[in-house]
Amino acid sequence: MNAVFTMLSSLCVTLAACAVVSAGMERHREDFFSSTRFTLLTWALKRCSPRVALGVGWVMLGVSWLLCAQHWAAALATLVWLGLLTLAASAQGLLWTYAPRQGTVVADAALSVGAGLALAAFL
Amino acid sequence: MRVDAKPEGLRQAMSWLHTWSALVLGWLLFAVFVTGSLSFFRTEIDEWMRPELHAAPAAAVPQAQLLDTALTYLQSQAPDAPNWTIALPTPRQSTLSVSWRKPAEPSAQAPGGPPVRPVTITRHLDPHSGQVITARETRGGGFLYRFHFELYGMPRIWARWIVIVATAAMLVAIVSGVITHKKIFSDFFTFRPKKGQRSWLDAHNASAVLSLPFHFVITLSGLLLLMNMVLPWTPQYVYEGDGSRFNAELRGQNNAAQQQPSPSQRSPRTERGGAAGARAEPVALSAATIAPLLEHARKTWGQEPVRISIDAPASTRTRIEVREGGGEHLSERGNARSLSWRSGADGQFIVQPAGDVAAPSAVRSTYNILTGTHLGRFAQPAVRWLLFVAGLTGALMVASGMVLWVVKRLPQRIKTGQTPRGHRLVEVLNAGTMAGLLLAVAGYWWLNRLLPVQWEGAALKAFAPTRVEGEIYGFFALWLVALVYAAWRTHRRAWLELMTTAAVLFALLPLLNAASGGAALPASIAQGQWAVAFVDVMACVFAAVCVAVVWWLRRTAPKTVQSKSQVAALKAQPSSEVPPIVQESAV
Repeated sequence: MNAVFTMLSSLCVTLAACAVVSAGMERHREDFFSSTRFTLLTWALKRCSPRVALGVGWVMLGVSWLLCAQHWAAALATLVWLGLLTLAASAQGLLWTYAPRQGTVVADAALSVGAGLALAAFL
Repeated sequence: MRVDAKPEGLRQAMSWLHTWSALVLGWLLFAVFVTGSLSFFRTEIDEWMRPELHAAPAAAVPQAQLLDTALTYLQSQAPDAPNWTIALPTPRQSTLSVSWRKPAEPSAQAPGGPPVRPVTITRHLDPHSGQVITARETRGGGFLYRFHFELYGMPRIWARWIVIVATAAMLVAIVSGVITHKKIFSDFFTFRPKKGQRSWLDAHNASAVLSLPFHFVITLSGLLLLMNMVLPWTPQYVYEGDGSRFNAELRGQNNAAQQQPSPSQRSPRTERGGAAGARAEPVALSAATIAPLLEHARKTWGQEPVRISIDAPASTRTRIEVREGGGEHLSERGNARSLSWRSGADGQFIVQPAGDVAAPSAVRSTYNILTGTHLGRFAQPAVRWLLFVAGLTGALMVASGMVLWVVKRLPQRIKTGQTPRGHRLVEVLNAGTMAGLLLAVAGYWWLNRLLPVQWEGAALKAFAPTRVEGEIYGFFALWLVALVYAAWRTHRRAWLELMTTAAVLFALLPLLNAASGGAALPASIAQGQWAVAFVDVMACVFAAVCVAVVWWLRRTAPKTVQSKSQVAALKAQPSSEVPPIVQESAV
């Protein structure tokens, strides 16, 4: 997988991870469950405590780091991952501010695209 | 610092420190962040600012033809040079260029004077005709890069000290900021728009905390890069004044240093195996002899080799070194890998074993990772853009913090009905330096295309001795004009008008590029001239940022001016005594 696709898939997973982390945060938990439409992530995390959601979010962040580490050596992978984290977290912040109901829909889409790209590269 | 001398808490103390350490140097830090972010695209800006080169894209030309063009030129123009270098096109530079070292002539050596250094001459070649392309005189991205840490027009040492102080203040501001705004982590994704001061605080916190790791690393490594100035005592005390041993160990050459007098030498020159030397015929240099070496390098690294250095061409002791575009290992500071060959007995080149380069020590690796991140030499285009965006986030953080200082003091100003001089000064400097810098950067690129290429005899020669200075003086003149303009207009008007001008200038840059001899955006993308395309795109990014600020200023203006407390305050005052600035400056 070349650099651009690696970054894209990792960015997508990071964005979804940010949404999931929000489900574990006092201030943003409400945003996460505000979607009126069915989304995979709300369905999956409905019964989980905030603590578990936070854990799942962090695991997803770990996965996005691993995606970076597929392409770059550890130090550079970390650097790229931090950069992507900045982008994703900014995007997530804007989503919760301006389109809270679409937040989890976007997260679902991001997760599928990210996972799809990673799988495509893996196979 | 409490006037009533009561003990203050840690957060209050930190808040004071954060506010004032950042205010004093914020304008400089903003300039350092913006020019630093631009420096990640230094090579690209260099190429964009020499539109004559855009006409000769070399990326699509077969490698053999490039090699032949380069070698033919070097053989005819510099047959006696001790060293030739051929730079093949890369994603960051789309031209073919050659350079050679011209040995210093003995006649140029003044008796008793300092030794004359060999001069390196660089030429850009048209890959099709083999003709030299003469580009206009410009300092290009190098000016922005130098300004980033050495400012301009003052002794280098002073300028570096000023930047060091600003960087140290930045580090203080980061640490004290995290303590002051302790809620940043629980409010991680929070932005509350249309709430005046609260929104500014959110914007400041978000831009700071979301790329906190970047800010911390870039600031710390900025200090590390200048550490010999900050802490110059290590070589004196630990190494007892032996600066060269200190440098050698610093570069991880503690074992090899003894044999190698020059630590900057990239790989050992000493011939190994002893078989080289006695040969009657020099190996003929041509695309046919060099292409296999490139192929070998490509297979070894899985990377495209881009730089070919030929020592002692046209002799029996020719040595060829091939380097990749840039390493991808941060712990090696993004240093490029290289392979070298020497001429062998049968008219072939023989691979030379690599020298003893010790693996970097733990300390060295840490230093490399930190400073390597700062320099960004390793970065492929995608990563480079990421660094660029992170750098701009830093600029945004500084800018929002500076505006926050003004916004926070607005209620008090409205209450008392007067603007202290210091507050007005900060407003003017905010608009003048920050909006003004963006305007000046756009103007620098405009001047690059608008100033006459032929400087001798031009009327502007009275103002600047060379064309290079013409562009640079123009940059500072624009910045100064922006500052004066900001002092003349009210605060809000100044921001609005300066940002609008900058947005227009940036947005039209891609068109100007196409109209003044450069490769237009569709053409540069089609021909793989990524350097040129990137700068056009970057101009669009800047234009978008400026437009966003303008759009936002226009949208929020009526709301803040008509907020209840302000209206009440305005009513309480006889209208003639209300300084116009209070009404206008509620950004």
